[in-house]
Amino acid sequence: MKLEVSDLRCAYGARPVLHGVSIAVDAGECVSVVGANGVGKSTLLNAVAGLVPARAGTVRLDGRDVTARGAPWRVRHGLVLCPEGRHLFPGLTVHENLVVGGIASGARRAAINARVAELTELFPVIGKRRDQAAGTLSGGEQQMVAIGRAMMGRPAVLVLDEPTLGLAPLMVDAVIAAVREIADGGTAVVLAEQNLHASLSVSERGYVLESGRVVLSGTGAELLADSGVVAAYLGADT
Amino acid sequence: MELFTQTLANGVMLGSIYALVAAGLALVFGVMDIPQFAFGAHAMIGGYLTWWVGGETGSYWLGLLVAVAALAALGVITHAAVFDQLRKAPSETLFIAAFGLVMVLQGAAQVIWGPDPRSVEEAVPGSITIAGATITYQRLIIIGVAVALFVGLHLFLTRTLTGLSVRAAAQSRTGAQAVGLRPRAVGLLAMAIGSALAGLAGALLVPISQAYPTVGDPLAIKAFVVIVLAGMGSVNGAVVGGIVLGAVEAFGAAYLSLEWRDAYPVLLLILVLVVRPQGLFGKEAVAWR
Repeated sequence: MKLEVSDLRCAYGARPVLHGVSIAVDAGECVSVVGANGVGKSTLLNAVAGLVPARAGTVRLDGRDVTARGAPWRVRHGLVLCPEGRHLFPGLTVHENLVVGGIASGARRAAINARVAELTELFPVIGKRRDQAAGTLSGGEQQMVAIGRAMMGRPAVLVLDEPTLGLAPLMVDAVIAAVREIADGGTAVVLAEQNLHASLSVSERGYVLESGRVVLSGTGAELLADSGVVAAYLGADT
Repeated sequence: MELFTQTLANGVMLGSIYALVAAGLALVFGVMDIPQFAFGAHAMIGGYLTWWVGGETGSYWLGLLVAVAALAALGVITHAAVFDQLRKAPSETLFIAAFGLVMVLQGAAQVIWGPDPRSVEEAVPGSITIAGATITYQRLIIIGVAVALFVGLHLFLTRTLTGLSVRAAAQSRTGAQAVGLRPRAVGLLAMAIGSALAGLAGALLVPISQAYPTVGDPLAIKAFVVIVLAGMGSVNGAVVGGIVLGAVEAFGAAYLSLEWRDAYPVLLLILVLVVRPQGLFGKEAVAWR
């Protein structure tokens, strides 16, 4: 397994948020973490990325326990988070945003520029808007740049937090297609989404989270076919 | 015409000093939200070190280099000892800590060097007459060194990977963490640069203003006015704002009233904030540039 999370527990102060969550993702696999707003998806992903400390449990990368390692170490070793809300550097150009994404890998400028050129094929917006300030792009374009920035260091594990949030349907399709293409390229992808259909349709497997616990897991098709999942955990409108 | 040229030269010289301190303040505020008002006191220490090392070795330039290097180190030490310890504290605590640091540095200067002003000879004595105005070489050195520094700082921030990291961390801490940057290391670098710039300002100014424990107070206030004027966190804005402030102060003193000299920058600040609350170069969505 590329990424194994076992019995992970996290809390904000005295308030527990995750109550022993376990998930696993293999190389080339896209795994969804779905659930309603506030069930602990972002906390799980931030803990996987090293931005939220674990109270108990382990996070393993290629079998190696990285639970005590900080975010910069995890990024250098191939575990990168694309955070909810994108958190681009708004005053930097699209090209500069991507360059910053490659700095932690320790690559030289020429290698970083070569990587930007590679990613332009996957995300044409990078080429079209190269010298435009990232803060001036549309939401969908910003999301493409954010995923591109996360891919700069050729991560083994890409963790995506709500990448389709607030996007128009056409852009949702484009983002989901890009996520599938990244997984097909051999990257292990963890995708947290409220958009049940978009995420499970592109995932091999999925975990349904409720109140900080995994209450159901299965293949994407199984979970999509389970009407109880939709009704009980995600609301009828999803 | 002679008065105008003379005033312009004085304003640009004064503005260059303000801009040096303000650029450091903007850099540190942009990256860490720390109101580092102790940069005025850092400039004071820079002046004393230039006087001391220059006096011992007979070389003003060696004194200046030692002052810049020592202040960069002082910036790192004070950040590690004070601000990094308070990184989870509310902003008012950082504000009080910065003022506490001013008192400690002024007290230390008084104990070490005494209350009497210390004079430093100009690096290059003499003056030149331009358009009827007499400008000392020391003032030209101040303008020249400051311009070179601003160009260097701009190139560093825009052309190097380290500079990009600093700008990125200033715009989104979460984004910087997500891509594996080390916000604390970037913050330390910003503090070292800001403190070194303040030390350089003090070293450049000491042949004109002398060194004494409170010499940095007006600099700290003016630098604060500059970064609010320019838009908090905008380094380029701080450089332009510093020059504008120096010019306003000089022209106000020359053409209106010398007594109101320190009030002109504040009046300008009030005017700008009424018309453009985010500052001249600040943007609501984009804090940098």
